[in-house]
Amino acid sequence: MIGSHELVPAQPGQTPEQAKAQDNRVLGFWIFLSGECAFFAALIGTYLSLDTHTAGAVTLASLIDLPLTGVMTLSLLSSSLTMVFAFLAMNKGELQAMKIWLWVTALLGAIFLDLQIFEFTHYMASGFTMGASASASAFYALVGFHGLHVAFGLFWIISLLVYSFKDGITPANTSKVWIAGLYWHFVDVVWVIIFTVVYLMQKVH
Amino acid sequence: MSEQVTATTESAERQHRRRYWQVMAAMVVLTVIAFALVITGALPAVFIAAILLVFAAIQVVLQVYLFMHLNVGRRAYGMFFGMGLGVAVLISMALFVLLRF
Repeated sequence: MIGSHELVPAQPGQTPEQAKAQDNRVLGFWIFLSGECAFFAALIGTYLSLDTHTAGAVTLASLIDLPLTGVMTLSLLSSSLTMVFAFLAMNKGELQAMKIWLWVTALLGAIFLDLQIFEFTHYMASGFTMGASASASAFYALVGFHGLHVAFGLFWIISLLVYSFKDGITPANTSKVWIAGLYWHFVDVVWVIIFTVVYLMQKVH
Repeated sequence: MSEQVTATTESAERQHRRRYWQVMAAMVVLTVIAFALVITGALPAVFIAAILLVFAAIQVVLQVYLFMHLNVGRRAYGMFFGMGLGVAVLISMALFVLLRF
């Protein structure tokens, strides 16, 4: 397995205090992520219980376009891969390569978001609006909040790229990349569940 | 000596890279199978639903362990995240059962 020293690499000149601070930030972030689990669980539970409450309006099942969802899934999955490549590049001290991988990650995230906006616009034009039924409200709450998480992740990665590496890779900014990566992978994990529970399951019923 | 160190780091890095590609490939394969099952409806709905849930669980584990490296570093990471996941399962199941039935 991968050794802990490679996770948030000790930088030359990093003091024990700095290393400890890094560790604490990562711990704090895992605690945040466990809260996020509860947040999405509440939305998923609500969706699961309301998905049959369609109030005679357009149903989600009739609108879902699986190939589109498939492309969205692929773009988010591959953005997880490019995120770990960014981290590998950082471990080797290759600033340029890391930046390129982070930009690729942001680009894939933007593709996902763009397709989601396209999807929502299409659904709304077909009458599946937020107020159409309880099922529609639950759908937009769940998938919309996930989309907002992706948008926030994009903003996060781009602001890292713009502000954080003016002095190269330093003890102060290695954990920033790691933590942004954790967030990004988590958003991907949530999508895997949404993709299965909301999109595929709708088509099975 | 230093050459040897560099060589070891190089091959470790290549190993990591290969593992990440493998994880990615596994996830793509699972997604494609899930898709194919749903589109073709090759199996009874109950089986497809069960398979989809198992695939999702496998993908979550792959992401959390191999991309987020939950098993590396402090034990507290896993404890907190596991707690969050446990609460998540409880909340979603409770809402599902309470509101649906």
